[in-house]
Amino acid sequence: MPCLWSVGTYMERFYQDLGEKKFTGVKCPKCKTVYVPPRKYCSCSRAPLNQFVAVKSSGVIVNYTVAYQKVDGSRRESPVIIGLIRLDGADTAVFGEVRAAGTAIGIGTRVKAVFADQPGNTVESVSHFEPAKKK
Amino acid sequence: MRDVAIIGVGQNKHVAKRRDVNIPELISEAVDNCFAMSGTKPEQVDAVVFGNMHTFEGVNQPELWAGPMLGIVDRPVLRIATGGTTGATTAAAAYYHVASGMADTVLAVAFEKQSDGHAQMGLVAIALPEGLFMLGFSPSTGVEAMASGGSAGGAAYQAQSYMHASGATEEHFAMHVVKNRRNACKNPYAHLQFPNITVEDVLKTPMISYPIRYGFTCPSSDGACAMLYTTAEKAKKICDQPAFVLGTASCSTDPCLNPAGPTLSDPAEQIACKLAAKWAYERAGIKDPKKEIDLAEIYDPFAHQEMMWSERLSLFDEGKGPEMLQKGVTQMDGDLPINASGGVISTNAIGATAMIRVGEAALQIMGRAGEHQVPKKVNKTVSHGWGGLFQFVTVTVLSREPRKG
Repeated sequence: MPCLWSVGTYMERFYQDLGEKKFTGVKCPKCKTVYVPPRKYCSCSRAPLNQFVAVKSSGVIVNYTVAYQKVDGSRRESPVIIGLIRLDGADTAVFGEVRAAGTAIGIGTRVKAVFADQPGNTVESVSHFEPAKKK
Repeated sequence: MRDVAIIGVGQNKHVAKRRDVNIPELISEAVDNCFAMSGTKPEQVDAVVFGNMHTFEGVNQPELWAGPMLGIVDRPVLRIATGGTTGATTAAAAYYHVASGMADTVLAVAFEKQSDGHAQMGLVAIALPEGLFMLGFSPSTGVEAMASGGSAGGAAYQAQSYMHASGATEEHFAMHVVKNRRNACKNPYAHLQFPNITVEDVLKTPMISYPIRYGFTCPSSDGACAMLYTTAEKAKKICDQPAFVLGTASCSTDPCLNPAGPTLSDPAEQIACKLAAKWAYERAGIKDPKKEIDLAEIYDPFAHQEMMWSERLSLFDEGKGPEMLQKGVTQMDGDLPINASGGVISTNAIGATAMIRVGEAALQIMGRAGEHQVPKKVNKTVSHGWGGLFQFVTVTVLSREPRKG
């Protein structure tokens, strides 16, 4: 039985902007926290959020894992690095695959998003992240 | 509010697959043991609270038909499902029934029969509807971010962060696994019982999601737990030494690993645990948990977690978990035994697991833990449960004596 979940108005805007290779968040008018992806209420100040802001597609790895297994428990041919990345201008972190191609990475490594060749209004607009130069 | 006591705890032997019994038959083993231990009968029960995670078996409402199959008919039934904390929330609901005066004697039952379904798919779907769709940035990588190798993917970030903050190493993780799986050998209901396991054995297991190895994860179990709650007055007539509930609390904070959107806090920081512990200790009249708590049962499905939670529950100073483990403080005969039962790293029938933490602490107070009864006198205990998106925690404080005033 297939389900069809609504993503909500804020996430719809987020995905539409991703299709244009842009990351969109919201900024709290009270505590100035920038949430990416956007949401309707601030966890810190409880304020309603409606000030949309653009953030950079570069950021820093704040946490990561190296996945050796797939969801079904089978081994991957080669392990995949999955990072929690705080984009420049955001206070929150997002998940993304990091392809480092031999470069050593860790907490604190700077990365930038690589967009898909033909981005659309979907999560797959971001292909992965790769190491980037210092800010 | 009335004083409430636990007078019975029943479990069954947890294993990977109980293909020989159906759901109510599995549960009834624990329920029968609970009645036998307390010397009570099903007809003395005024209400039933029933807990499990339906997505793990694919059976949506077992509470609607399983009650009569346990010998309990014509009684109110309340269903609880709060993920990993289900068992503790079910126990708390039984406590609320009695404390409020709505019922005198309440049976709390929690179980999971994970071999009937696919718990990993249930875990992935916890955050639906928005979660799965927004999990990370791509269905091909995003789902893996949280769920690579089951929930190990999410725990990997927490372990990574805890190592970073505390200096804990893979060797500490392995020492924790060895301690608890050896403890489990003395608990007849525990699933994984490895008397000769070594740190080297654990470190040799394959990596799932760095830094989580296969040996650093809990098993998937079939099993159940049942507990009987009643008023302090009735408890004193029924049993020599009940375990009294001093306080219970739960807290849900902003998700620390939020596939559905922004992630604000560090997954090892555990504000939910700190707040729930603070509230539970306040309700229990505990001023200094380091001095007043004699024993803990902690939710440790991953090998870094017992150390981490013991700090967040204020049993040790921040960052001291690895040192306390290494010194043997948390061993069965240590100053603060943690998971004398073998813990979650040895046994995990998810719905039952957080209730077993409460039940095992009660058994230690009652002096009924059998071979894994700790050698010291146990006056006050803390039990902990964890679930959700790394941000939902339950804390329960039990005591040899009822609440004062």
